[in-house]
Amino acid sequence: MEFQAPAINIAIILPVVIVAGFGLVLMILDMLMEDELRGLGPWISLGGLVLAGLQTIALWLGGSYETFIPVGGHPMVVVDGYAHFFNMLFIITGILAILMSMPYLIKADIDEKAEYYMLLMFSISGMMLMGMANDLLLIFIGLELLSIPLYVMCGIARPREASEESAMKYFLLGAFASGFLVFGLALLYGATGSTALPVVVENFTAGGVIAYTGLAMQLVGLAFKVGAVPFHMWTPDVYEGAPTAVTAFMSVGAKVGGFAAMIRILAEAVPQESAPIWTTAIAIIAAATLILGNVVAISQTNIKRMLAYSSIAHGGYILMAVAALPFSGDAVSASLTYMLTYMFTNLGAFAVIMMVEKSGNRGVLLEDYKGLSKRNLGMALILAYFMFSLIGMPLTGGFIGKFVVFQAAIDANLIWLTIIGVVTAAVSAYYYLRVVFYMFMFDGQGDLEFSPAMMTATTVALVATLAIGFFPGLWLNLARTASLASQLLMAGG
Amino acid sequence: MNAFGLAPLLLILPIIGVLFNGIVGRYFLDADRSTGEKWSGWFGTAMAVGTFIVSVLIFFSLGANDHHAEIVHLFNWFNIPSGNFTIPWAMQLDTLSSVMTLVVTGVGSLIHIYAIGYMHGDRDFHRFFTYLNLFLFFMLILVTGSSYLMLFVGWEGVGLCSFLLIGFWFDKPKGEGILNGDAARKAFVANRVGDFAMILGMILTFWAFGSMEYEVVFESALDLYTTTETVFIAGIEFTIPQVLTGITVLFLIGATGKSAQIPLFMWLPDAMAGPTPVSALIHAATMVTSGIYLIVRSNVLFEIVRDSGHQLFGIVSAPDLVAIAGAVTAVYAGLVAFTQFDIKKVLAYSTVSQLGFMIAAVGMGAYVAGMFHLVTHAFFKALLFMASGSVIHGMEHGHHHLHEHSHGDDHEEDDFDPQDMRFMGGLREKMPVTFWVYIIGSLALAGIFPFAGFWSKDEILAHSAYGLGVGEATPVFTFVRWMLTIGAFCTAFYMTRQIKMTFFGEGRHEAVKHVPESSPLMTRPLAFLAFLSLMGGALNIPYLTGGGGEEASTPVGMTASVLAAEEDKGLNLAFEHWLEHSIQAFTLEEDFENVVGPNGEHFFTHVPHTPTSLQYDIAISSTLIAVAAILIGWYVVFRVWPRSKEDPDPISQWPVVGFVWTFFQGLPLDTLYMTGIVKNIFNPLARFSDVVDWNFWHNFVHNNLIRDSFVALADFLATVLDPKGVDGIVNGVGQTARNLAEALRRPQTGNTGNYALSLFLGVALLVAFFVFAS
Amino acid sequence: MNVDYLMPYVPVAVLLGIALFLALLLPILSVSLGPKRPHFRKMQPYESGMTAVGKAQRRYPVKFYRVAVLFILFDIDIILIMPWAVALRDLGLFGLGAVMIFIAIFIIGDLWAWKKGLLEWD
Repeated sequence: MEFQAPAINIAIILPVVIVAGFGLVLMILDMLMEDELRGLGPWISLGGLVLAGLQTIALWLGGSYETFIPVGGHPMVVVDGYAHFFNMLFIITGILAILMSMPYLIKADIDEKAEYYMLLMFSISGMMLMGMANDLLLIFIGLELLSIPLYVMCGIARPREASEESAMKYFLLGAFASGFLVFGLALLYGATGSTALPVVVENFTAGGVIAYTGLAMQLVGLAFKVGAVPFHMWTPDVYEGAPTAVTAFMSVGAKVGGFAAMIRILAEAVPQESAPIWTTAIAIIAAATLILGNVVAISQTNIKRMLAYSSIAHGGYILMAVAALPFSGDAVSASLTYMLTYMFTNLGAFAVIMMVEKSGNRGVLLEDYKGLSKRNLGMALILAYFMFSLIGMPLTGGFIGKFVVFQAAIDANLIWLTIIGVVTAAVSAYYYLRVVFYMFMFDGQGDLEFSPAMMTATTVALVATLAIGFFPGLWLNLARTASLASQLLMAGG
Repeated sequence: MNAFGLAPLLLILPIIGVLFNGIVGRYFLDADRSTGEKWSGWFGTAMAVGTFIVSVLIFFSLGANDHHAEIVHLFNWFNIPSGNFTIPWAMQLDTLSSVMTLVVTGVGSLIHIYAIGYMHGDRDFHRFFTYLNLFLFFMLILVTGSSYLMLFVGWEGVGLCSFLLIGFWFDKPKGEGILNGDAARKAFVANRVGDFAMILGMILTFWAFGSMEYEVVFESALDLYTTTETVFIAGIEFTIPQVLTGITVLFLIGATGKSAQIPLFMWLPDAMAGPTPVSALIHAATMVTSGIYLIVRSNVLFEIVRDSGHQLFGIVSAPDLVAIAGAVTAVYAGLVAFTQFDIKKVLAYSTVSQLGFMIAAVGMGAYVAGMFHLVTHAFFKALLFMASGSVIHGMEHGHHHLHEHSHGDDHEEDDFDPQDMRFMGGLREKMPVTFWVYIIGSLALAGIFPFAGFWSKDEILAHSAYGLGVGEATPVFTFVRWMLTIGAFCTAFYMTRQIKMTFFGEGRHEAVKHVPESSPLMTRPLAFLAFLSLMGGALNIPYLTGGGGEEASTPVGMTASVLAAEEDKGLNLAFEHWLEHSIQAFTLEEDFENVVGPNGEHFFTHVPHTPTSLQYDIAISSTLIAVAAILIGWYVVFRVWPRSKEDPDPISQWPVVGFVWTFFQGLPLDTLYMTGIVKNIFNPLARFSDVVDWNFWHNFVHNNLIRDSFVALADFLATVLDPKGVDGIVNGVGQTARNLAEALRRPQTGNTGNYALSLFLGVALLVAFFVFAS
Repeated sequence: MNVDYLMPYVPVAVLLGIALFLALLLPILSVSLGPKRPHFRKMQPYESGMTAVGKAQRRYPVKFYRVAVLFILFDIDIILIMPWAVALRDLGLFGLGAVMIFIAIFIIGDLWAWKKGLLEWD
């Protein structure tokens, strides 16, 4: 058999290559350079992300819808509007996370400067693979590339016990879940004879019960990453223990990455006739996630833990859109919009939290927010706005996200799920408003620590949340175009 | 796929609440006071919240349905097969009724919660919630009905509830104001006049078009009009514009009754004798706006009359008459509001004045602006009423406190009135939350940027100044514009007066010293409404670019197609985009572009359009006027702090103004109308109802049939069930949720092994599900 | 539900079921029926008659783990390079380039680990 070297279109995977390449550069830097130069770490990684972002935008504007075929067979990577959208999400998440980390690492006495940003870059490249992957193997690799740096980042505040504990827990349970993902991959391969999504979908029905079992296990692995009930148990402990900058990064990045792959698999690797089965399962998981996340958040006294449960709940809203996938043409764009708003709002909220936090993981209790409005009205108002957005009040980005998701769910005739969504959203107001209540109705002490980088991140997140809240049309269009310029063919209505 | 199927729940849920509170509420209260209050209050509230959830689902469904209206057919009311004649009983769910249901159920739910705190300890607690739920039921019929007939059923029903609720404290002694019973009768009579006109209008509609279904009526009206056909009514031939002028004028009279406009407005200020939650819900936010809803719903009929140029008695066309009535009311009520001392009456006249704004708007064809003002007004006026209720509540508490500590010589306190602003002053420090939400509500009402009222009021003013499509601004438009400008001045003035009298200076009565802040049950809904009053304007922000008179005076204006093309550009005019799917007037110009009448005439070449960009001249001038009014008001009112109630308002001693002040304080129209008429009608009626109500209903049905059987059940609930289960629900859903949260959080042990086990169980369940489902 | 795959395994499943049933039944029976007279000695772990020394779960130095991780990395290295080596001639320059990139990345990682002291035992 004569081997033909394929004409590889490097350009289309350039964003992820750039991000990973800058990670390697940081690695070399960390090895060879003196301490002073290591301080360049964040700036180098910012530069890399900006480059990757520019390349993504160039590709997006070029309207490319291309596949990357390495060596014969089926494409491993699909670079469509959907992938572009996610790449941009991850790059922005990365940029904001780096901006927030720079002052935070100093405050929290974390010394591993270049190392930290290196891990961050690798994790982002893993996320980007999740959005582009068109092959179960690549999804697995993306997932591991996303996760392993995160395990280390959680523990980077050693020798703080909470940080080490969170890293250990996350690692053990993450490995456990990855095991299921691989097992599912193996079963799907066995049942369908391929790991390429387009082949899997053709042979799925013939694969019968083995294929379904494989799909279930794949979903377990991804549901673990997004923190869906009952695979959510790690979330609160890990979020609470990890350094807050890492919490912020993974509450957005890991979750969105998980959904990127989950939607891709469910929309492309599963035939339409199986839809009633998996949508039922996803809808039940979504309902459980919504109820548990929103209810348990009420009894939390640590704001990081509260936001952990809140992020579980937000995963539930996205799952609502996932459950609507086969039945509503708007479901993909709804979930994209929701993730967009969630990213900005959550990162913004975490940025303010990091400013309130004191070194040594103090200042993260709800108590510490008492009287914030008297200490710094501006920050209190900004945090209040983010809380309103997380609730989904009108005129915030969060409202637009919830709005489109509910609409998609109703379109898919998931009325019972929508009712649960609406009611739990109302319940969520209770614990989010409690933060606002503490800030404005009590007296308290303590200063906020400002820094230009943190303020930049906060401003970006705030402006974006405001912009989505007040001018939703633009963003909805963006998400719609992205979802249409993809091969997620299920979105037919 | 959609949730339209849930629409009947809008009507079923409130009725469940009515049945529950009406039948068993009393026995719960008798058995155990606090348990009974919880059951009645929270059950009624739960029903209201349920309707709100259904409204939200319908709202989303409309979005998913491309804003197309959906008619949910319930049943045929009656059916004459031979005549091929049916009167269906159906709900029309479109973007217009969706706005109304959201306002009614949303504000309604908040007021239910507030009322639990406000009515605490009232003897007839359950009766209050029965009426509130009943009101909700009728109001939802009114706004969701698909025909004038259903609208009328709701129309009558809300009138009944209003009557019952105004007279709720029928045994309250006469204080400064009117007796509750008299106030209720006054409302009833005024409404009767309006309702009579409504009936005539409906009959005329049915004669002319053979149906009362909105869609049928509008369609055939347009059809007959553009073919210039005539109709025979009682054997006389009429042209369509003639008939429609009759119908619309009759509807206008109906609207003036329900929405308290000149000449039928005088019942509303007296209606404030009822409990404050009622004032907030029925007499500010919802029922009184049904006149506006009626006109907006009938927009096609009004536009036909406007287009035909037909004038009533050759003097004025029906839509112009609407605009004039609204504008005059806005000014008259605004002036009367200057002179009032009762904190709620000021707000009542203010409501009349603001309703005048809305009526004037819809009369000019600014249907969206009118609805927009309706929504924002619902937010801030409900807020103001509830906040004033909080003040009254506080004053009563303070007075009560005073009494307890000075028993014996309380005869000097006999003339104390907790609603009289002359007794207040200095409450700012006593009730900080109430004070701040009051300020927000007042600024919104006065139309100060960026509060909600600014946007909606400006849209009306911009329409009156640059009403597009009708060519040059007609004299009527100019008249309305200046009247409304005066009205806006009055608004800012009397609100400043009220705030200064209530919250600033020193307390003018001992009771003020003992005023407590109201309970969270009351202040939380207030804070929520304050947020809405602050942000509500964003519903329909106009385009900020382009503005000025030049663009506005171009004859083309923004047609519906241009508006549609502008869609997805953001939140600008979101409300307008939402409503344009229900308001046919938007599309008339396009629909009939190519239609030529039998005599070669063109139709609907001049349909009014509101400018879509912010008119900076209007915005700035009206803001300046409001600010000026606030400053003047602050300077003029009580310049010398009065020490006691007897000190007169200095304004009454000014040369010309003083005369006007005294004149309006005498309530000229009211006196004219009230003497004689009401009492003569009502004495026989009262006797009759007494016999029916007391002897039959109360003595027989209540005492003998129902009470005894339910006392046992109530006892059971109070002693056995309530301490465990229901207290949890009732002490706020929050408490239950917190308990649940505690329970759910227990598995969160922190032990990684346990987590892995739960993960594994999840896997097992999921795999099992997939295997068996496949 | 496609059961063809599973038919040969039915006996195994039956066996498993019986085993599971017995494994659950016998302890339950002994726990619920048997007399319980706990004693300090009886609670000790059984060590062939010797007195137990220390706990069963001992802590291992994490260094072992580090070496194990390194081992796995080289393992993966071999798994990926072996197929390339087998098809070396067919893949030609393209394959060489690809594997060189891989090895370069791998070497950077190794050097980094070395520099960070992963290879030092103490």
